[in-house]
Amino acid sequence: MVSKLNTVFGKRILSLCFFSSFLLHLLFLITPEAACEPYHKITIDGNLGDWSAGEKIVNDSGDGNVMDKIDGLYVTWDADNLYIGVNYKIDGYGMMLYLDTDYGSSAGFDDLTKIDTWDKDAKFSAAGFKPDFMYGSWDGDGGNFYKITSSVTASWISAACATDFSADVPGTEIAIGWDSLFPSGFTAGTRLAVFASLCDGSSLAIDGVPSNISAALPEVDTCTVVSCDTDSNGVPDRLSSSNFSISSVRMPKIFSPNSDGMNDNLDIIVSLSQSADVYIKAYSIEGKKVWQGTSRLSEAGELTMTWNGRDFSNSMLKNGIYIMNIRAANSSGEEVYENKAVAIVK
Amino acid sequence: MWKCNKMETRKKSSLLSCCFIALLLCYFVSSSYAAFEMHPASARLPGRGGWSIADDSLSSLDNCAVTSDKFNWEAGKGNFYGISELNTGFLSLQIPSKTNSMNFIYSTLKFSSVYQESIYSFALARPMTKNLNAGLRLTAYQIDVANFEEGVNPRTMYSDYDFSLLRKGEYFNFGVSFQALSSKSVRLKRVEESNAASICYGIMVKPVKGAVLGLDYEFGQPLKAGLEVEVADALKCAIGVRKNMFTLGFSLRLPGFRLNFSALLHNDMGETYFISVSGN
Repeated sequence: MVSKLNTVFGKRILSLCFFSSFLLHLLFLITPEAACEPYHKITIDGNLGDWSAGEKIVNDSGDGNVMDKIDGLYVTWDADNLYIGVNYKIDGYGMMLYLDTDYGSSAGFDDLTKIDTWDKDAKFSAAGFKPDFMYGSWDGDGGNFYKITSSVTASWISAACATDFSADVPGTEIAIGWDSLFPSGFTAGTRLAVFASLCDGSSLAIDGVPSNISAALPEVDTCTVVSCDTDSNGVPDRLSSSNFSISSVRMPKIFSPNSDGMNDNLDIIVSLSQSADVYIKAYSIEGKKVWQGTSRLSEAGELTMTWNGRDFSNSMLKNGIYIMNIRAANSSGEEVYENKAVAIVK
Repeated sequence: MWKCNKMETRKKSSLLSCCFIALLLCYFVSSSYAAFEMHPASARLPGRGGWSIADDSLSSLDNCAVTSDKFNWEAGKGNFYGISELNTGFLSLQIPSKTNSMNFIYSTLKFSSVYQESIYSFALARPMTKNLNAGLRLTAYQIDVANFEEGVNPRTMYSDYDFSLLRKGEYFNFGVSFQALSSKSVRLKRVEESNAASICYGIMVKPVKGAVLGLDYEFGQPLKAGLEVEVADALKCAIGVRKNMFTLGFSLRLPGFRLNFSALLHNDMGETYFISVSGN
């Protein structure tokens, strides 16, 4: 009886092992295309009319006129490529784009003032932003994409690039293969950081997206961050409503609400991947809520909210550290949040 | 017999006078000032909701408990609300003696390279009677600010003192702590800030061996309450509540030291954690 049970139990274990190994085989045989179905394949023609609103990660359009400035930065991807779009139009100048494929890590280069290719005196001071790749285009040409190999050298890599200033939504579109960006395989939990700027013959100038916080071009003190693998499964996420996120929050680390006309208000710039209600709450470090601001149905892109350093009763708050809790809720009821700290010094 | 009664009467009168002083102090306290509340000098403390005033074993913040007869130390760090640039570090050292015990604390709260608060504290305590401890702590606060605007003082220092009494009992402890800033105004840039004195009451209940229940109340501030239980010889677990937060912690005794961990779970902002090692 016991030996019979053992035999039956052993067979079950054996069949379970076979089934598991079959599943594992299936998992390894699945191509990246199957694991990550294309969300949106972009036609690289320089016309940004085929990008959806949710793919505009930085909205910098002030007056609706795109001439001589950058109006928006777009990012999306499918199983094969990362697509980047820059909506701008300018004659006699160029456009540079810097990409950090491992945002937050120490790899990359933050001083490109002596680089032998497209030297535009660029220096990067935003925390965690050290570009590994760059793109340069002059006066509406297709441009080229480069891997930054050291702070003084860069090597050309293959990427589809096109610029069209006569299109309905003019600008540059770039498609770079994931294989080119990650030769040893896509890294789980990848976060990309991007910054684009117009340039003259010698340096970054005129306009950049996202806009610098306090530095003046060619120094760059900001970037926009996109999470490509939020579930850390080593495959780029499918972009869908479940990819609702706060792309980035930019604000100074310190401000001085003392009515002297300098740094009196805190501007909080929130980048959204979809339209959403945005709530910003300020807490003391002990966790006591001292202020709240709300913006209903903000469009995808950038939103700026301002805090004057006063509490609910309009009294000026004490010096110290305060936590800004930025919360966004979309129409599907999904809610995401991010915490940022700020110091009040009066 | 008569001598014994006289001693009892003297003890009672000293206790009554202490309570009277504590109550009297209340009248002079206009509003509370709770700066540096999140600078723990022990990772055990936040895990049980943050109460400490009536505890006669946790000397890190309660200067009355400095009379604890064991040499002890604790060093640790913490991170606030998942913000990588907002961290704290702390160090506490206690040197006991039969008459006057001493305790030193260094604690810092650092936000990136723009703002840093540091605390340097020295406490002295002695047992007044068998069940009554008194302690005095002197604390210096230092604030370092990045020079981002004209007129900002890059370094500002001020100080305070606090005086505490602790009545120990078999089932209940009762403590009261009075704090006042000796430098009443703090000026980092243009605006002077006045800091008021504060008074905090604490009670600790010991319903059964190995379990303590405590509560701290400071006028104008939310209550802090929690429970700490010794679930095994080597393991203490704690839970606590304070406004908008649920807290938990544990303290594990390992060969030669203790490992302490606590987490504060805020309704909106997520987790804050503290971790430390301690020994005696």
